[in-house]
Amino acid sequence: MTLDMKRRTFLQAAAVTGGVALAPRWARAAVKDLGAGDRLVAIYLRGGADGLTVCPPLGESAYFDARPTLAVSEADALPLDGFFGLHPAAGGLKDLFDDGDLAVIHAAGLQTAERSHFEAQATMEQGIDAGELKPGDGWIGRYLAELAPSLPLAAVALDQAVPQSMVGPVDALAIGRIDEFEVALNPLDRSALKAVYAADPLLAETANGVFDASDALVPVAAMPPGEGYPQGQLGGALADCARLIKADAGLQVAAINGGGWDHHDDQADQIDPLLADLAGSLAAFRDDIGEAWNSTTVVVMTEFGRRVRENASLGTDHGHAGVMFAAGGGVNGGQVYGDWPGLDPADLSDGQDLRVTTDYRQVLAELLVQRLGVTDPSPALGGWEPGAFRGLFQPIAAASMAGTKRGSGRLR
Amino acid sequence: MIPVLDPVSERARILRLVERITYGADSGTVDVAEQLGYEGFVEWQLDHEAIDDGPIEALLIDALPTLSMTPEELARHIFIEENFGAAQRDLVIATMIRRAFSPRQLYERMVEFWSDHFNVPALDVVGGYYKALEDRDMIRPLAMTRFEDLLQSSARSPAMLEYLDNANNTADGPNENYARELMELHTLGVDGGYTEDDVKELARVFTGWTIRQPAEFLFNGFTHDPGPKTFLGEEVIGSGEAQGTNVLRTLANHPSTARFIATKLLRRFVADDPDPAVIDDVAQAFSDSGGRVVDTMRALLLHPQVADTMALKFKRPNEFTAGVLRRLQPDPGTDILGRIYNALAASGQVPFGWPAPDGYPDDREHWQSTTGFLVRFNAAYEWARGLVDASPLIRAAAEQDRISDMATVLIDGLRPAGVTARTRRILIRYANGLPADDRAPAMAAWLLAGPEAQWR
Repeated sequence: MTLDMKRRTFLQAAAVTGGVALAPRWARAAVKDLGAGDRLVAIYLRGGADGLTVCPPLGESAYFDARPTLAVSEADALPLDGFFGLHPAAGGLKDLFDDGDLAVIHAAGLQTAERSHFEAQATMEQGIDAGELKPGDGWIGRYLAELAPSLPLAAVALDQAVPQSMVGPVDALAIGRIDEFEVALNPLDRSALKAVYAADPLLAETANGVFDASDALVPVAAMPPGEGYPQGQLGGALADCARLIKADAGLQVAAINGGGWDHHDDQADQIDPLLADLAGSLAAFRDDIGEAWNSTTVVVMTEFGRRVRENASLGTDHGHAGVMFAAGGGVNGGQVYGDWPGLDPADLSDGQDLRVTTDYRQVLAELLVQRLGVTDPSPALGGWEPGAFRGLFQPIAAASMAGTKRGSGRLR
Repeated sequence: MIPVLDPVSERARILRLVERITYGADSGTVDVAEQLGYEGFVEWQLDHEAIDDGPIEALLIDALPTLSMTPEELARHIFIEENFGAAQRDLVIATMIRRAFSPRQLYERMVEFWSDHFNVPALDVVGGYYKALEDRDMIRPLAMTRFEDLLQSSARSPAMLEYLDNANNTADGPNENYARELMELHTLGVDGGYTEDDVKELARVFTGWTIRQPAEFLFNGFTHDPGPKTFLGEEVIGSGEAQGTNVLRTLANHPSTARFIATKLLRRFVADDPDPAVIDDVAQAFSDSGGRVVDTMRALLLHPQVADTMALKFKRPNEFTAGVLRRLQPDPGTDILGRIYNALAASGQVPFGWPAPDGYPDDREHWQSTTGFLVRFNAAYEWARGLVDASPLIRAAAEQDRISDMATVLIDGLRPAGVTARTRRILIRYANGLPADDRAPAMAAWLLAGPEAQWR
């Protein structure tokens, strides 16, 4: 984002919030104001995860015709509802599904096909449709602007960088791995650096964020990571996310990236460990955070699914619809949502890819309203108006909404 | 950032130029640039072969044995003798040493630019093997030649063939990965005017382009789809490998490619969102010269608007690290190779470590993060203290009796553009609270970690 754009975002924020969002959040009241909504954990699988392997449509013969080597067989799959199954490496997801804690949304994605990784990711992270991409805030960033969190660890990317979905007037902290977030500087060095950074308005807040985060992370780092997580990228990140929750550090939104889902060749061998990481991590995360699971919602998304027909190198090329997951204590789980468009050639998007029957924003809209306490999700989603809710989530109990210090809940 | 110098003064223009086309304005390079003048410095750096980098290359080849192995020797060294990480590690260290210390600074910047543009990560053993060879045999020799030369070689590079799966692209089920990224990321750009059908047809054009072991290009007529193909609205000319050669030429000479490369060059060297009028001028120079890198870069750097544009680029981690080394100038023989590797590993920008085909990001939005700053602060602190006896600059500062003289020596060496009076006062005030021995390294660390050091 350029200087100009950043400034424009700031000015817009100042206009809509009367400047509240501009105040350093830890300079405001140090009391916890967690809002009434759930804690959001947004997991993005980069590369375009193959929905037809993750959650195979076992009841459809065209699936096995299009995927002679890659299809997950009915014998191997973990059955979900008689038509769909889960890949055998996704046992953790199956456990969550069976317990009613996981909803599967199939044939979901960008309404308009976009087969470039980078365009599709950026588009989804802004909460818009393909073709509408221009520099702007992310859908989570717009939610955070309304939430105006007051604690340094309220909005965190468990990664080296803040993802585009979190861009907005509230500066989220990218903290990477908690155990590696260690400031080598002594107090005098810190003071000297803070003093020199005070003269650079574009960098000062990030510089101060280093010291605020490192102070706030002390009690979090003292807490050992939970057990049962796989050794993968998502396992490490979700274990850290759980530590933030268990240490009561004020976490409201966490963004987590999982890479490596672009499988143009040898897909079967590559997707197995990734799915085991995703599924095992989510299951371990639920066990790890205990009661907090009831006030946590996890959404898992990817930029697109893969082409229906496998290629000759035992992989799949870029397709259209994929699969999304929502997990948490407030999810109406144990169901596969979405109209199944079918895999016959006449039913496909551009004659080749799974058609999108659920705009990914429908899931986000229901999540924002039912679990995060937003009354109008449309501004977070590029002005898009969701359809009738499918009942993916249980509405947050009215009682917990009362008496909070939140704003109107309306995103502007 | 508050400019210390009059931003349109000749000295300010030259300092910006040095920051743009080198890996950090150390005082020696700034002196050379001031003697040569703006245009003279550009021309000196553009004629990279006339600049002697013999000592550095000799040192690297001596210290890092995999750099000079033949493909067969390297394959044996890695896969049979089981030195699995050797090629990747040597390549990363050589790359950082060259960036920090080679006198061919603009050349090394172009090597980095094309390494990002034609990104192939060295994240696994096979990838590291191919990438090490590609860097030496393709990217480095061609970095200052013509875009089409790079493109034709990249399409035949085992590293690229393996990474984007074209090595497995065959007539009986084409693999679209390379074809799509070739247009989206290497040539036309995502809005450059191609369709999904063009992706599919292009994938068919490149069927049979594969690898002969251990690391050679092979056109395999048996797996090539010989049928007619239509690409960008026209029938593809020629047959067999010539079809691919022809479409690569078409792509290299396409106006969308000129604009895309010009935009990326300006984004790398000048600003995250370059001025469209300047993009037009640089794209024109690219087209007029048949995609010659030297002519395009000359047009870019001598563009009056570029010369006068403020420093708006937030340094990427590797630029920050190289900049620290260029300024501290550790004594020869200092054991810094492992330190460099560790510093980069922590920074999130190990060379050849970006997994996606678009290369490391080039915008402030990505790199300005809490964890990114943490790593920079720690690195500045550790470099300044770790090199306290090995940096002539810190030694010279430490010899001063007065804190203000110490500050002057360090500011002259680490910030040739100067710092504001306020920053200088802060350095002196805080250093005053430290034991005498700590003052020079502490002030050096604050200057290296401070806000002025993050921009170029």
